Amino acid sequence: MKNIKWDEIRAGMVLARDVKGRFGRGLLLAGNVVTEKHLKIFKSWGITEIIVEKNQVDSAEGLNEQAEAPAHYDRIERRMKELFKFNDIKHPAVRELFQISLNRNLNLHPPQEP
Amino acid sequence: MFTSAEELIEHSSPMVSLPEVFYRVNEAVEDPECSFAEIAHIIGQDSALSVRLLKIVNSPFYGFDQEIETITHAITIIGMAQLRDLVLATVVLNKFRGLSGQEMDMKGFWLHNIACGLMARVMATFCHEKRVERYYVLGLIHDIGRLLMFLVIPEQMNQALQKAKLEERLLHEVEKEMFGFDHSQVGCLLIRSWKLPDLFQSAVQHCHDSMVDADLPMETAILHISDIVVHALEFGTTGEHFVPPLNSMAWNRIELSSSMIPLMIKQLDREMEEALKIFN
Repeated sequence: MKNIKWDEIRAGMVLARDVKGRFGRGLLLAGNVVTEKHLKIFKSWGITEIIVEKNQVDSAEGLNEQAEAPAHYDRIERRMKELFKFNDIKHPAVRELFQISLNRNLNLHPPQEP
Repeated sequence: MFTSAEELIEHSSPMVSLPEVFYRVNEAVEDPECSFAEIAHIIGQDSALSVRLLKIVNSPFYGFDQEIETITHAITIIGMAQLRDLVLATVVLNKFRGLSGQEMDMKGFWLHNIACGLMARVMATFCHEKRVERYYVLGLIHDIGRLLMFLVIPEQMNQALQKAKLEERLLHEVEKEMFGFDHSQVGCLLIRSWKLPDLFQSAVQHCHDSMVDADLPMETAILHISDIVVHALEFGTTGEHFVPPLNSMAWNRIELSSSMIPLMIKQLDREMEEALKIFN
């Protein structure tokens, strides 16, 4: 199972867990396929993440950067770890921030062509 | 050398006093019998300020369809208290932007603080807070104490900076160790000397504290987290080389899911672009 963030939710994904709105009101049951109409409903209910079966996501598009330039990735990741060294990376908010900041740096400094 | 934050503030107070117009606007806003027209009149006497305010309310931040041409119109739309906060943000920026410190990257400093103000306002909106403009002001002025220290005791601050870098420590802790006080205390006293509301003082003072109070004010929590987000994104610099530690109490206080962070940052990026157009 995998958490999918609001901006990565796509039609065709199969829910592994019920989607609930505020106050626990059920919107869509596990097992249902997400449709375009559901996307609108999620948006209007402020749904920020859903849980889907894991195998669906991995096949879609994996992160290849790591495989392409491991040394480059490691260097940037090391610097980010240094930047965050006073923080508990296990905290969900910190983890989220760390990931964003890592991705921004990877985009900002793409690996150099040999 | 100053032995306390109070001494430092006392020494530098002529340099950092706010212009009269802010106090007059503040007084008028607090006066229940004061009309929109009277406040507009006070602001109108400072034409540079009026122009700046109209530029801000007409920017895409507010997204009003029609152009707002007068201060009176601006007040009716965004409200007196919000306008007061905008006046405050404008006069603080004006006052301090003119100063230059040899040891300090002023551009980086304002970039960090403007980003923090915008982040705080975005976060406050996500938390359904009312009157979000004060969050912008809070972010904007939260490091003002450090700016003042760089201006008044540049050599010592430079030493602190080197020490923090060398020993890989947080700058505010090194400040406390070397001077007996840190920039949060200086900032808090400065804000007090400006007679700003208490919540401004305490949010700035406790920005880096280990907060223990379970019902800590929303302003303190949002400022604390915004500062961390902006450090993580490396927007500008105030001399701090690390992301300050997140206090989980503050995070729990704002009751947001961590999945909202990318959303808030997306909005921050958009607003940063606009803000830099206005302030440059």
